[in-house]
Amino acid sequence: MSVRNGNSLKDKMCQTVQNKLLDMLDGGLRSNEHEQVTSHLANCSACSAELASLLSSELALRESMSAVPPAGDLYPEFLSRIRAENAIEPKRLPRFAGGLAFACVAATCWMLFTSSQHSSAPVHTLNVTPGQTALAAQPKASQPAPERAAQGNAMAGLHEPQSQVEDHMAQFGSDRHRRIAMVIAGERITGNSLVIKATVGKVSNESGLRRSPAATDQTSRADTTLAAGTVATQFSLSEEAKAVPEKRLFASNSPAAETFRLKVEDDVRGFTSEALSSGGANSTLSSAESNNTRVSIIMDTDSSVSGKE
Amino acid sequence: MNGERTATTDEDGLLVARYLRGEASAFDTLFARHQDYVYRIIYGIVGSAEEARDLTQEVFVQVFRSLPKFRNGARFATWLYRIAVNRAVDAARGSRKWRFLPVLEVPGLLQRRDDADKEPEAILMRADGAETIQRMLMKCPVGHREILVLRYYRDLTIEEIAETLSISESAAKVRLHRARHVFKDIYMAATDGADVQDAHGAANHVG
Repeated sequence: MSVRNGNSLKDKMCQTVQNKLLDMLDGGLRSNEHEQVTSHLANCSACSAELASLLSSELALRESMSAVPPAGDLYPEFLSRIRAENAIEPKRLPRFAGGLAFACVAATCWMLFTSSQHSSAPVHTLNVTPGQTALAAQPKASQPAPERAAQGNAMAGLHEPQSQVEDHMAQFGSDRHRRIAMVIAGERITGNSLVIKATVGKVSNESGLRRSPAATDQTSRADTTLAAGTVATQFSLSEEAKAVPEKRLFASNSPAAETFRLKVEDDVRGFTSEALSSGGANSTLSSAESNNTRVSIIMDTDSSVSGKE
Repeated sequence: MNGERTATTDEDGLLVARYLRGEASAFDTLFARHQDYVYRIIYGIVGSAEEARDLTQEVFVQVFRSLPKFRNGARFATWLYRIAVNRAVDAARGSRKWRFLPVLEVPGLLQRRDDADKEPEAILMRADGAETIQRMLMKCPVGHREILVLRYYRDLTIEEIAETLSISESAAKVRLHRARHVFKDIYMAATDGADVQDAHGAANHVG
């Protein structure tokens, strides 16, 4: 009985000490606690082993940090993304502030995969290089932005009116129809999902294109940030498609209020897929493509759109 | 907060202020200063270099967009790391199955490397060791991973971790303790105590 009590006391002491080991490693024990712990460690192999285990794992973790493979230079790609987004979010650029209502089409669109019965509407696919924006019924695609990074201060170019954005927005100058602009910000395969991130903007230019050269303050930039939306469209592979994970896709249902179909064509991976949201809206169409994937948005209700292919 | 990091924080604050005054090049500097830290934090949580690069860019795009609304320049790093952690955790949780996570098989881990840094083989060995540790880290719940990378990859204090994760200091301390124990258990199970003999010596010094 007394042996059992002795063991029980020892176990409690071990527990107490082991609860303090991390604090000891961090130098967080008061001197009397430190003495108590060290004195116990000198006579307890189990607690010493526990301390050794903690030390060993912490050293390994700390060492592994310094060996993380380098990221490489991420800045050029970052610039491309910013430019791509700026191309369809002109209100972020000071000179366009006040003239255009640039609203988010859908905060998130999770679209339902549909079969070819939904493909009766024409798909107008423009050849756009990654990061550019294309617009329906606008035969002229945006021109690539100049490579400002090579000209010194790369970021400065992002805050100045860019010819790409200017050309792009000028196309709305005399048009009262709303347009949808979209640009693919990135795509990647995660697990069994292809995730395409695209920024979609609704442009209403009833007041025409106005420039406001004086509006160069950061506040207007901040305000316009709210006006843009990033759409994360995730296609999950069906159970059936798991065996051939790059051939067939379906997408989740969309809470989006407006009708549009999303067509995804992936030349490299060899699939074409269309998705449909519910609701109604003026029609327009936009498409964009990244390195491997071409995405088209098709708004169905406006007969004035003359997309074809 | 140590002196070095206080100076860094002050410098961040100045850079943010300069950027908000219209000096666009200040953002270049902020990017260069923090890119690697952000990347490492994200890498530690998602475990994939490719995905970490992608997410790092996304984080900076978000920061670039939101910076005009950012009002407390002195806390820029905390704000940035919070965005990074949130993005990485979302990505890690979004994956139905971690495609880079193999069955944990850890052949003899962590050879001593006191004189190894000069040799190319040693560098490879270090990288292997880091990958092995990363695989172990990926075995931890994501809530533990995030706090471990902030602690060990960025060496943040409890106070800074709490601020970054928007939790109380006591909660941060408890979670960090749990995470360290969880990682220790995974590490010990994987190495079968192979590296602990060395640590015994160190433990005696600590004691």
